Amino acid sequence: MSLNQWKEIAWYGVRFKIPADWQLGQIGTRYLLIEDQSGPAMEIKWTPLKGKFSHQVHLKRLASLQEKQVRKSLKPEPVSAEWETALTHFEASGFSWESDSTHGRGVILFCPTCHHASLIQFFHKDPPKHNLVASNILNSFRDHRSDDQILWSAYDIRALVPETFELKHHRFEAGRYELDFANRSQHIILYRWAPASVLLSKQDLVQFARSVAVFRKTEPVAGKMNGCDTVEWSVSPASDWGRWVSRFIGKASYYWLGIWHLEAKNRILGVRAEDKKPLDTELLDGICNHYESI
Amino acid sequence: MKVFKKKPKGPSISRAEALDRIPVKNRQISENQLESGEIVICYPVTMRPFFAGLAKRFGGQEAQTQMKKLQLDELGTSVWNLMDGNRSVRQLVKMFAETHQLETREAEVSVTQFVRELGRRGLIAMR
Repeated sequence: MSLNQWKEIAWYGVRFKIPADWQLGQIGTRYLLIEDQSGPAMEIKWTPLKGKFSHQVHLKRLASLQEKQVRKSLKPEPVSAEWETALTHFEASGFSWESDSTHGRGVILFCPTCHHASLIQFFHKDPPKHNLVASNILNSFRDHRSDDQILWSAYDIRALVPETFELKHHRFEAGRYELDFANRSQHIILYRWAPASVLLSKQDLVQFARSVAVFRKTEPVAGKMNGCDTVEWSVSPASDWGRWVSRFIGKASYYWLGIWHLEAKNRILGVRAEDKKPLDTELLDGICNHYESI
Repeated sequence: MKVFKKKPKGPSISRAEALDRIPVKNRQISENQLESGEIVICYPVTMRPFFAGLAKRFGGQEAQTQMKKLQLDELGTSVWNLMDGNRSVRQLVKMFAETHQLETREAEVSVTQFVRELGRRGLIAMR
Protein backbone atom coordinates (compact mmCIF):
# COMPACT_ATOMS: atom_id res chain seq x y z
CA MET A 1 0.00 0.00 0.00
CA SER A 2 1.47 3.36 -0.98
CA LEU A 3 1.94 5.99 1.69
CA ASN A 4 -0.44 8.30 -0.21
CA GLN A 5 -3.29 5.98 0.67
CA TRP A 6 -2.54 6.23 4.36
CA LYS A 7 -4.71 8.42 6.51
CA GLU A 8 -3.59 11.14 8.82
CA ILE A 9 -4.47 11.19 12.49
CA ALA A 10 -3.96 14.45 14.36
CA TRP A 11 -4.95 14.84 17.97
CA TYR A 12 -3.84 17.18 20.78
CA GLY A 13 -0.82 18.41 18.84
CA VAL A 14 0.60 15.15 17.55
CA ARG A 15 0.06 13.85 14.05
CA PHE A 16 1.05 10.75 12.14
CA LYS A 17 -0.14 8.54 9.32
CA ILE A 18 -1.61 5.06 9.60
CA PRO A 19 -2.62 2.49 6.97
CA ALA A 20 -6.04 3.17 5.45
CA ASP A 21 -7.53 -0.02 6.92
CA TRP A 22 -6.48 0.81 10.48
CA GLN A 23 -9.01 2.60 12.63
CA LEU A 24 -9.14 4.68 15.74
CA GLY A 25 -10.33 2.39 18.52
CA GLN A 26 -10.14 4.62 21.59
CA ILE A 27 -9.65 8.34 21.88
CA GLY A 28 -8.69 10.06 25.10
CA THR A 29 -6.90 13.14 26.30
CA ARG A 30 -3.45 12.71 24.76
CA TYR A 31 -4.13 9.04 24.20
CA LEU A 32 -5.03 7.01 21.11
CA LEU A 33 -5.52 3.30 20.57
CA ILE A 34 -5.48 2.20 16.97
CA GLU A 35 -6.83 -1.10 15.72
CA ASP A 36 -6.32 -3.18 12.64
CA GLN A 37 -8.62 -5.97 11.45
CA SER A 38 -7.57 -8.31 14.26
CA GLY A 39 -7.68 -5.89 17.20
CA PRO A 40 -5.37 -3.36 18.91
CA ALA A 41 -2.34 -2.64 16.72
CA MET A 42 -0.83 0.48 18.18
CA GLU A 43 -1.07 2.68 21.23
CA ILE A 44 0.25 6.17 21.70
CA LYS A 45 0.26 8.52 24.68
CA TRP A 46 2.05 11.78 25.09
CA THR A 47 2.41 14.65 27.50
CA PRO A 48 4.17 18.01 27.78
CA LEU A 49 7.04 17.95 30.27
CA LYS A 50 8.72 20.46 32.52
CA GLY A 51 12.31 19.91 33.59
CA LYS A 52 14.62 17.03 32.75
CA PHE A 53 13.54 13.95 30.92
CA SER A 54 14.77 10.46 31.78
CA HIS A 55 14.02 7.51 29.54
CA GLN A 56 14.70 5.06 32.37
CA VAL A 57 12.29 6.75 34.77
CA HIS A 58 9.58 6.72 32.14
CA LEU A 59 10.20 3.08 31.31
CA LYS A 60 9.92 2.20 35.02
CA ARG A 61 6.70 4.21 35.23
CA LEU A 62 5.36 2.35 32.23
CA ALA A 63 6.30 -0.98 33.78
CA SER A 64 4.55 -0.12 37.04
CA LEU A 65 1.28 0.39 35.15
CA GLN A 66 1.34 -3.04 33.51
CA GLU A 67 0.07 -6.41 34.62
CA LYS A 68 2.58 -8.61 36.46
CA GLN A 69 3.39 -10.82 33.50
CA VAL A 70 4.01 -7.89 31.17
CA ARG A 71 5.90 -6.00 33.89
CA LYS A 72 8.35 -8.87 34.29
CA SER A 73 9.02 -9.14 30.59
CA LEU A 74 9.32 -5.41 29.92
CA LYS A 75 12.89 -4.61 29.07
CA PRO A 76 14.81 -1.79 27.40
CA GLU A 77 15.89 -2.55 23.88
CA PRO A 78 18.09 -0.67 21.43
CA VAL A 79 16.13 1.24 18.80
CA SER A 80 16.44 -0.54 15.47
CA ALA A 81 18.31 1.16 12.63
CA GLU A 82 15.08 1.64 10.63
CA TRP A 83 13.32 3.24 13.55
CA GLU A 84 16.32 5.38 14.38
CA THR A 85 16.32 6.78 10.84
CA ALA A 86 12.62 7.53 11.18
CA LEU A 87 13.06 9.29 14.51
CA THR A 88 15.98 11.63 13.88
CA HIS A 89 14.12 14.62 15.40
CA PHE A 90 13.68 12.85 18.74
CA GLU A 91 15.71 11.40 21.58
CA ALA A 92 14.48 7.84 21.45
CA SER A 93 14.80 4.71 23.55
CA GLY A 94 13.25 1.36 22.74
CA PHE A 95 11.55 -1.31 24.81
CA SER A 96 9.75 -4.58 24.32
CA TRP A 97 7.53 -6.93 26.32
CA GLU A 98 5.49 -10.04 25.85
CA SER A 99 2.45 -11.70 27.32
CA ASP A 100 0.81 -15.06 26.55
CA SER A 101 -0.99 -13.79 23.50
CA THR A 102 0.77 -10.62 22.39
CA HIS A 103 4.17 -9.07 21.90
CA GLY A 104 4.78 -5.39 22.24
CA ARG A 105 7.55 -3.25 20.89
CA GLY A 106 7.79 0.47 21.21
CA VAL A 107 9.72 3.65 21.76
CA ILE A 108 9.76 6.43 24.30
CA LEU A 109 10.40 9.72 22.56
CA PHE A 110 11.42 13.11 23.83
CA CYS A 111 11.31 16.14 21.58
CA PRO A 112 13.91 18.72 22.66
CA THR A 113 12.10 21.45 20.69
CA CYS A 114 8.63 21.27 22.24
CA HIS A 115 9.50 19.26 25.38
CA HIS A 116 6.88 16.61 24.78
CA ALA A 117 7.42 12.99 25.79
CA SER A 118 5.61 10.35 23.79
CA LEU A 119 5.23 6.64 24.13
CA ILE A 120 4.39 4.67 21.02
CA GLN A 121 4.01 0.93 21.06
CA PHE A 122 2.96 -1.64 18.50
CA PHE A 123 1.21 -4.89 19.37
CA HIS A 124 1.62 -7.99 17.31
CA LYS A 125 1.20 -11.72 17.38
CA ASP A 126 3.60 -12.21 14.53
CA PRO A 127 6.69 -9.99 15.03
CA PRO A 128 7.66 -9.20 11.42
CA LYS A 129 4.12 -8.26 10.40
CA HIS A 130 4.11 -4.59 11.38
CA ASN A 131 7.79 -3.80 11.11
CA LEU A 132 7.71 -1.80 7.89
CA VAL A 133 4.35 -0.28 8.80
CA ALA A 134 5.71 0.76 12.20
CA SER A 135 8.75 2.41 10.60
CA ASN A 136 6.52 4.38 8.26
CA ILE A 137 4.23 5.45 11.09
CA LEU A 138 7.20 6.59 13.18
CA ASN A 139 8.62 8.39 10.17
CA SER A 140 5.39 10.38 9.84
CA PHE A 141 5.14 11.16 13.56
CA ARG A 142 5.33 14.87 14.49
CA ASP A 143 4.53 16.42 17.85
CA HIS A 144 4.53 20.13 17.10
CA ARG A 145 3.96 22.67 14.35
CA SER A 146 5.59 25.99 13.76
CA ASP A 147 2.52 28.07 12.86
CA ASP A 148 0.64 28.40 16.20
CA GLN A 149 -2.12 26.17 14.89
CA ILE A 150 -3.10 22.68 15.95
CA LEU A 151 -4.31 20.15 13.43
CA TRP A 152 -7.19 17.90 14.47
CA SER A 153 -7.90 14.96 12.24
CA ALA A 154 -9.93 11.98 13.38
CA TYR A 155 -12.22 9.66 11.45
CA ASP A 156 -13.38 11.80 8.53
CA ILE A 157 -13.02 15.32 9.90
CA ARG A 158 -10.04 17.60 9.68
CA ALA A 159 -9.71 21.04 11.25
CA LEU A 160 -7.06 23.60 11.99
CA VAL A 161 -7.60 25.48 15.24
CA PRO A 162 -5.35 28.13 16.86
CA GLU A 163 -3.27 26.62 19.64
CA THR A 164 -4.74 29.09 22.15
CA PHE A 165 -7.91 26.99 22.00
CA GLU A 166 -7.95 23.91 24.16
CA LEU A 167 -10.14 20.92 23.44
CA LYS A 168 -12.58 20.75 26.36
CA HIS A 169 -14.87 18.03 25.23
CA HIS A 170 -15.22 15.66 22.33
CA ARG A 171 -17.90 13.27 21.20
CA PHE A 172 -17.76 10.77 18.36
CA GLU A 173 -21.17 9.16 18.12
CA ALA A 174 -22.60 7.39 15.12
CA GLY A 175 -24.04 10.18 13.01
CA ARG A 176 -22.75 13.05 15.11
CA TYR A 177 -19.24 14.27 15.93
CA GLU A 178 -18.57 17.20 18.19
CA LEU A 179 -15.33 18.92 19.19
CA ASP A 180 -15.68 21.72 21.75
CA PHE A 181 -12.72 24.11 22.02
CA ALA A 182 -12.40 26.90 24.55
CA ASN A 183 -10.18 29.90 24.99
CA ARG A 184 -11.17 31.80 28.15
CA SER A 185 -14.83 32.73 27.67
CA GLN A 186 -14.86 31.90 23.98
CA HIS A 187 -16.10 28.51 22.81
CA ILE A 188 -15.85 27.14 19.32
CA ILE A 189 -17.66 23.91 18.63
CA LEU A 190 -17.14 21.90 15.46
CA TYR A 191 -19.92 19.58 14.37
CA ARG A 192 -20.25 16.90 11.77
CA TRP A 193 -23.51 15.13 11.01
CA ALA A 194 -24.13 12.22 8.65
CA PRO A 195 -25.77 10.89 6.59
CA ALA A 196 -27.06 14.22 5.30
CA SER A 197 -29.46 12.58 2.84
CA VAL A 198 -31.37 11.09 5.76
CA LEU A 199 -31.17 14.14 8.02
CA LEU A 200 -32.43 16.42 5.27
CA SER A 201 -35.03 14.05 3.82
CA LYS A 202 -37.89 15.58 5.80
CA GLN A 203 -36.52 19.06 6.47
CA ASP A 204 -34.36 21.67 4.83
CA LEU A 205 -31.05 23.01 6.13
CA VAL A 206 -32.74 25.96 7.90
CA GLN A 207 -35.05 23.62 9.81
CA PHE A 208 -32.08 21.43 10.58
CA ALA A 209 -30.22 24.47 11.97
CA ARG A 210 -33.22 25.14 14.22
CA SER A 211 -32.95 21.60 15.57
CA VAL A 212 -29.32 22.08 16.62
CA ALA A 213 -29.47 25.61 18.06
CA VAL A 214 -32.06 27.93 19.52
CA PHE A 215 -31.16 31.59 19.17
CA ARG A 216 -34.07 33.80 20.10
CA LYS A 217 -34.94 37.09 18.41
CA THR A 218 -33.14 36.32 15.16
CA GLU A 219 -33.75 34.01 12.24
CA PRO A 220 -31.33 31.68 10.43
CA VAL A 221 -30.34 32.90 6.99
CA ALA A 222 -29.96 30.43 4.12
CA GLY A 223 -27.32 31.03 1.47
CA LYS A 224 -24.90 29.38 -0.89
CA MET A 225 -21.11 29.30 -0.76
CA ASN A 226 -18.73 27.44 -3.07
CA GLY A 227 -21.69 25.48 -4.41
CA CYS A 228 -22.80 24.33 -0.95
CA ASP A 229 -26.07 25.18 0.75
CA THR A 230 -25.30 27.12 3.91
CA VAL A 231 -27.14 28.53 6.87
CA GLU A 232 -25.80 31.29 9.04
CA TRP A 233 -27.40 32.32 12.28
CA SER A 234 -26.13 34.83 14.79
CA VAL A 235 -27.36 36.73 17.77
CA SER A 236 -25.82 39.53 19.81
CA PRO A 237 -27.03 42.10 22.35
CA ALA A 238 -29.13 44.72 20.56
CA SER A 239 -28.42 47.79 22.70
CA ASP A 240 -25.29 49.50 24.03
CA TRP A 241 -26.53 48.68 27.51
CA GLY A 242 -26.88 45.00 26.58
CA ARG A 243 -23.37 44.92 25.14
CA TRP A 244 -21.93 46.52 28.28
CA VAL A 245 -23.81 44.17 30.62
CA SER A 246 -22.80 41.10 28.59
CA ARG A 247 -19.20 41.44 29.76
CA PHE A 248 -20.20 41.02 33.39
CA ILE A 249 -22.71 38.21 33.21
CA GLY A 250 -21.56 34.63 33.45
CA LYS A 251 -22.85 33.26 30.17
CA ALA A 252 -22.17 34.15 26.57
CA SER A 253 -24.22 36.83 24.82
CA TYR A 254 -22.77 36.59 21.34
CA TYR A 255 -23.60 33.47 19.37
CA TRP A 256 -22.91 32.41 15.82
CA LEU A 257 -23.75 29.20 14.00
CA GLY A 258 -22.68 28.36 10.47
CA ILE A 259 -23.61 25.06 8.87
CA TRP A 260 -23.04 23.83 5.35
CA HIS A 261 -24.13 20.80 3.40
CA LEU A 262 -21.47 18.81 1.53
CA GLU A 263 -23.78 17.02 -0.86
CA ALA A 264 -21.07 14.98 -2.60
CA LYS A 265 -19.87 13.62 0.74
CA ASN A 266 -23.32 13.27 2.28
CA ARG A 267 -22.25 15.28 5.31
CA ILE A 268 -23.29 18.41 7.14
CA LEU A 269 -20.54 20.40 8.80
CA GLY A 270 -21.13 23.09 11.37
CA VAL A 271 -19.24 25.60 13.46
CA ARG A 272 -20.74 27.27 16.49
CA ALA A 273 -19.07 30.10 18.39
CA GLU A 274 -20.08 31.80 21.59
CA ASP A 275 -18.49 34.43 23.76
CA LYS A 276 -19.22 37.21 26.21
CA LYS A 277 -17.40 39.60 23.90
CA PRO A 278 -18.01 40.28 20.20
CA LEU A 279 -16.87 37.32 18.10
CA ASP A 280 -13.74 37.52 15.98
CA THR A 281 -15.10 36.99 12.46
CA GLU A 282 -11.62 36.62 10.95
CA LEU A 283 -10.88 33.77 13.33
CA LEU A 284 -14.20 32.10 12.52
CA ASP A 285 -13.59 32.45 8.79
CA GLY A 286 -10.16 30.83 9.21
CA ILE A 287 -11.59 27.90 11.18
CA CYS A 288 -14.48 27.39 8.73
CA ASN A 289 -12.15 27.53 5.73
CA HIS A 290 -9.92 24.81 7.17
CA TYR A 291 -12.68 22.63 8.54
CA GLU A 292 -13.40 19.79 6.13
CA SER A 293 -14.70 16.29 5.75
CA ILE A 294 -12.13 14.00 4.16
CA MET B 1 -19.44 -26.05 49.06
CA LYS B 2 -18.20 -22.63 48.10
CA VAL B 3 -20.61 -19.94 49.20
CA PHE B 4 -18.98 -17.00 47.48
CA LYS B 5 -17.87 -18.66 44.33
CA LYS B 6 -17.53 -16.56 41.23
CA LYS B 7 -20.32 -16.64 38.71
CA PRO B 8 -19.21 -18.55 35.65
CA LYS B 9 -18.61 -16.20 32.77
CA GLY B 10 -21.00 -16.47 29.86
CA PRO B 11 -19.71 -17.48 26.49
CA SER B 12 -17.86 -14.52 25.07
CA ILE B 13 -17.01 -14.05 21.44
CA SER B 14 -14.51 -11.75 19.83
CA ARG B 15 -15.45 -8.73 17.77
CA ALA B 16 -14.38 -10.50 14.59
CA GLU B 17 -16.54 -13.53 15.43
CA ALA B 18 -19.51 -11.32 16.25
CA LEU B 19 -19.18 -9.53 12.92
CA ASP B 20 -19.13 -12.86 11.09
CA ARG B 21 -22.50 -13.91 12.54
CA ILE B 22 -25.52 -13.87 10.26
CA PRO B 23 -28.75 -12.25 11.50
CA VAL B 24 -31.85 -14.20 10.56
CA LYS B 25 -35.33 -12.71 10.83
CA ASN B 26 -37.85 -14.31 13.16
CA ARG B 27 -40.49 -16.21 11.15
CA GLN B 28 -43.28 -15.20 13.54
CA ILE B 29 -43.09 -11.54 12.65
CA SER B 30 -44.88 -9.64 9.93
CA GLU B 31 -43.73 -6.45 8.27
CA ASN B 32 -45.60 -3.68 6.47
CA GLN B 33 -44.06 -0.97 4.38
CA LEU B 34 -45.49 2.52 4.86
CA GLU B 35 -45.91 5.03 2.02
CA SER B 36 -42.80 6.80 3.30
CA GLY B 37 -40.84 3.60 2.67
CA GLU B 38 -40.31 2.94 6.36
CA ILE B 39 -41.12 -0.48 7.74
CA VAL B 40 -43.41 -1.39 10.62
CA ILE B 41 -42.69 -4.75 12.21
CA CYS B 42 -45.39 -6.59 14.15
CA TYR B 43 -44.04 -9.14 16.57
CA PRO B 44 -45.48 -11.33 19.31
CA VAL B 45 -44.55 -10.72 22.92
CA THR B 46 -45.25 -13.29 25.59
CA MET B 47 -46.96 -11.72 28.58
CA ARG B 48 -45.53 -12.38 31.98
CA PRO B 49 -47.77 -14.76 34.00
CA PHE B 50 -48.59 -12.01 36.53
CA PHE B 51 -49.84 -9.62 33.86
CA ALA B 52 -51.57 -12.41 31.98
CA GLY B 53 -53.43 -13.28 35.20
CA LEU B 54 -54.38 -9.65 35.72
CA ALA B 55 -55.61 -9.31 32.16
CA LYS B 56 -57.73 -12.44 32.56
CA ARG B 57 -59.26 -11.22 35.81
CA PHE B 58 -60.21 -7.86 34.39
CA GLY B 59 -61.97 -9.44 31.47
CA GLY B 60 -59.14 -9.26 28.97
CA GLN B 61 -58.16 -11.90 26.50
CA GLU B 62 -56.84 -15.15 27.76
CA ALA B 63 -54.08 -15.18 25.19
CA GLN B 64 -50.62 -15.27 26.66
CA THR B 65 -49.16 -13.41 23.73
CA GLN B 66 -49.63 -9.87 22.64
CA MET B 67 -48.72 -8.26 19.33
CA LYS B 68 -46.39 -5.26 19.43
CA LYS B 69 -45.40 -2.89 16.66
CA LEU B 70 -42.03 -1.36 15.96
CA GLN B 71 -41.65 1.35 13.35
CA LEU B 72 -38.16 1.59 11.91
CA ASP B 73 -36.71 4.89 10.77
CA GLU B 74 -35.05 5.34 7.38
CA LEU B 75 -31.67 4.01 8.51
CA GLY B 76 -33.22 1.10 10.41
CA THR B 77 -35.30 0.25 7.36
CA SER B 78 -32.23 0.20 5.13
CA VAL B 79 -30.42 -2.22 7.46
CA TRP B 80 -33.57 -4.35 7.83
CA ASN B 81 -33.90 -4.59 4.06
CA LEU B 82 -30.29 -5.71 3.77
CA MET B 83 -30.88 -8.66 6.10
CA ASP B 84 -31.58 -11.61 3.85
CA GLY B 85 -30.51 -14.46 6.09
CA ASN B 86 -27.26 -14.90 4.16
CA ARG B 87 -25.38 -11.69 4.83
CA SER B 88 -23.16 -11.46 7.89
CA VAL B 89 -23.11 -8.41 10.15
CA ARG B 90 -19.76 -7.49 8.58
CA GLN B 91 -21.35 -7.47 5.12
CA LEU B 92 -24.28 -5.42 6.41
CA VAL B 93 -21.84 -2.89 7.87
CA LYS B 94 -19.93 -2.64 4.60
CA MET B 95 -23.06 -2.20 2.50
CA PHE B 96 -24.58 0.27 4.95
CA ALA B 97 -21.36 2.31 4.97
CA GLU B 98 -21.25 2.38 1.18
CA THR B 99 -24.92 3.30 0.80
CA HIS B 100 -24.71 6.22 3.21
CA GLN B 101 -21.05 7.17 2.62
CA LEU B 102 -20.19 6.57 6.25
CA GLU B 103 -16.92 5.68 7.94
CA THR B 104 -16.65 1.92 8.49
CA ARG B 105 -16.35 2.39 12.24
CA GLU B 106 -19.36 4.67 12.38
CA ALA B 107 -21.42 2.27 10.29
CA GLU B 108 -20.29 -0.63 12.48
CA VAL B 109 -21.49 1.12 15.65
CA SER B 110 -24.86 2.00 14.09
CA VAL B 111 -25.50 -1.43 12.62
CA THR B 112 -24.35 -3.45 15.62
CA GLN B 113 -26.43 -1.34 18.02
CA PHE B 114 -29.46 -1.82 15.78
CA VAL B 115 -28.86 -5.57 15.42
CA ARG B 116 -28.44 -5.87 19.19
CA GLU B 117 -31.76 -4.07 19.76
CA LEU B 118 -33.53 -6.31 17.26
CA GLY B 119 -32.05 -9.35 18.99
CA ARG B 120 -33.15 -8.08 22.40
CA ARG B 121 -36.73 -7.82 21.13
CA GLY B 122 -36.56 -11.28 19.59
CA LEU B 123 -37.00 -10.03 16.03
CA ILE B 124 -33.86 -11.73 14.80
CA ALA B 125 -31.62 -14.61 15.78
CA MET B 126 -27.92 -14.87 15.09
CA ARG B 127 -26.62 -17.82 13.14
